[in-house]
Amino acid sequence: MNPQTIREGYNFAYLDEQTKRMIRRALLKAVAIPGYQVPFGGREMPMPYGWGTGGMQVTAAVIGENDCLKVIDQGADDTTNAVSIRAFFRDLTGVRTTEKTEEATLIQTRHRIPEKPLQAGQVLVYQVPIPEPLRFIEPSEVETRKMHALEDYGVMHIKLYEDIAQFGHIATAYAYPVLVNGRYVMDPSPIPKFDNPKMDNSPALQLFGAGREKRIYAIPPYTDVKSLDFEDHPFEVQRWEQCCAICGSDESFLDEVIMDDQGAHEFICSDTDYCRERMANLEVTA
Amino acid sequence: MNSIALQIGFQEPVTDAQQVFRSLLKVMSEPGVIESLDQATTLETLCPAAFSTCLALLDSTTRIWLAEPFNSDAVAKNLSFHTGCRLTQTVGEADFVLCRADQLPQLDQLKRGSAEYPDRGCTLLVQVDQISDTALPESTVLRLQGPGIPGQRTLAISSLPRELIHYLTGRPDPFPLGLDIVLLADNVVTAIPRTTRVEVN
Ligand SMILES: [Zn+2]
Repeated sequence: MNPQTIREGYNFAYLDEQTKRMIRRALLKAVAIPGYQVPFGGREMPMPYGWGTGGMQVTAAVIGENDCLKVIDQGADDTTNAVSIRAFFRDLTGVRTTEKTEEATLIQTRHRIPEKPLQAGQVLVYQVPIPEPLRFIEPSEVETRKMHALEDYGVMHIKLYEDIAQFGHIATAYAYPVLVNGRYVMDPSPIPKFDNPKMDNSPALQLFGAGREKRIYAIPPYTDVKSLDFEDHPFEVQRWEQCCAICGSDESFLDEVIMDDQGAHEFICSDTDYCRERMANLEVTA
Repeated sequence: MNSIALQIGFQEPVTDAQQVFRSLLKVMSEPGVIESLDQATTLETLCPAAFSTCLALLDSTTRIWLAEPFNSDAVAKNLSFHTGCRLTQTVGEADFVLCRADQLPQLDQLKRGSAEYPDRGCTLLVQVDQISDTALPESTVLRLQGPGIPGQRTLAISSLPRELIHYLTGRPDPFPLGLDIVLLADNVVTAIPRTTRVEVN
């Protein structure tokens, strides 16, 4: 690493060592208790909460000079949020960055899991706005702690079942709750439920950081992650009748985009790296 | 007054602390995996892996309890100097307990946290003679299963005391309570967190 690539006057990855240690100790407890929300303290990041400060704090505590960092927002590497966070860590660590999922050792994400299956040794850091899956049912932290302690998750099932009564299916499409290691109900952050199956028994380590509420939680590699469902209404992921208008994929998560003033619309992959690689491969074989 | 020699801690404090942490994160999230840990040197009877772990995790907000022979002036003074950690004489209030395998404290006295805050339990750092993924002379071969382990993983630890084997195979604390155990030998580390189901081969 070239030390001159780090912005002068700042500690490596911005956070002071005391704050990093606090987050690191919280991370070690988080992987030891999969799906449980560990409180942590420490300094703020120099960005507003909506920018994923929790994910950035986790990344800052984890990242080292040998890492190769990828940052995605809604699947894309080139949105303002992703570009800013990537530049922030490049300036303050000097690490290599990439847009290619398979090249990254550390991936910070908001709202998606890459389409390309993650590998052993990779670390995925999620930005989490609201860490508590029971919060919309129970506003009190004391009460939700108690519910987790007692495995009292009946209300969560009632909420999902109300969906079925009202819509005929479970309408929750994002931040769809999961049960981790058969014990803790966990909010997977606002990823589409399409991505939920990728969390199950992943060879990669998954870390979650919530900045405003200062919570960290984790899923170790090779850990059971089950989306909550009912025997008569099993969990299902989103499917599209369309294929990606660019690469033709019929198995990726698609975003609907407006093409012109007349309101014509198309569907394209939300994972820009996945889509680009498919196009490159199609050109090679053509 | 005896003067006690202060030793060098990490050569590169920021880089070394990060690398030690990544190894600890690896072994805690993939129980039974063995990582090398030699960023610090030996500190009296403390092996490089154990000294490195202390330097990476301890500070003025953490309490550590040191068992014989680690409760020496040299170890205590060096740990305080480099990390600012608080030494406690009460094992039940320690966030970290550091001991040799043949000098375990009463395990039922260690802090467990609560059902609401199971993360407040103690992390037990145990220095052993040898850690290997294949059987060694006079070692206990453990079969591990659980989160972080595809199928099962085999881990051989030399001179593992019966009390610790009983704890690991009996799991007296119902999950989410339990001890998270870091095993350190010479310049390697492995871990057995509370989620791991352990059988003796
Ligand atoms: Zn596409």
